[in-house]
Amino acid sequence: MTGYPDVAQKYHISSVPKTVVGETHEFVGAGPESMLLKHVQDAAADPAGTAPASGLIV
Amino acid sequence: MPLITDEVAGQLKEEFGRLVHPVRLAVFSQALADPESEQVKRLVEELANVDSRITAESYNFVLDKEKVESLGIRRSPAIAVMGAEKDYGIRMYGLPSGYEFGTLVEAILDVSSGDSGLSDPTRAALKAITTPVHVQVFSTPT
Repeated sequence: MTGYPDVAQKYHISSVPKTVVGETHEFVGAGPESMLLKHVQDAAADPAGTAPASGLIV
Repeated sequence: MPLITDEVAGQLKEEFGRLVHPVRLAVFSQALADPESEQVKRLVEELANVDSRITAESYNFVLDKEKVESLGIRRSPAIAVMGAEKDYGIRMYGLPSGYEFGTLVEAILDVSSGDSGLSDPTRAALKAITTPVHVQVFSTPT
């Protein structure tokens, strides 16, 4: 996180671990598998949330 | 001096006994702008020396533009953990030191097995998703 201050700032990373799904769905700390799935489903359903810059999203 | 000591290499050999399919590690660094990124390159090359089923490919983040683009590498240093035939889209950025070294080893084992470890209901729910979704996990080296 400290290695990439621009990315940390973009996603408002103030504590870790933090998971960001798509661009706007996020949670801090560890969570159950069902919670991650819910975020992935929400991000997939949110057209503004995924917006790939180009082809392969990685 | 190697980054992976003989003792750690011994433990890794045991861990990598669980490898199923070959794994490719593509590492991106930039010696000039970020000398520290060369450590990641060394680490990946040393990892590949531990088990013949792991292969390392080294690229320059600035010069190897085509590879950077085709693998969707966003920053340096980066490691793409890929199966021999399938790229699951797993990318690790930064130096995988401390706890994160374990995360890298786990990623290698997961890719090698081709098994995410997710439950059947989760897999079924994910199958219904047709849009690519980007999942990023932020951590700090320990």
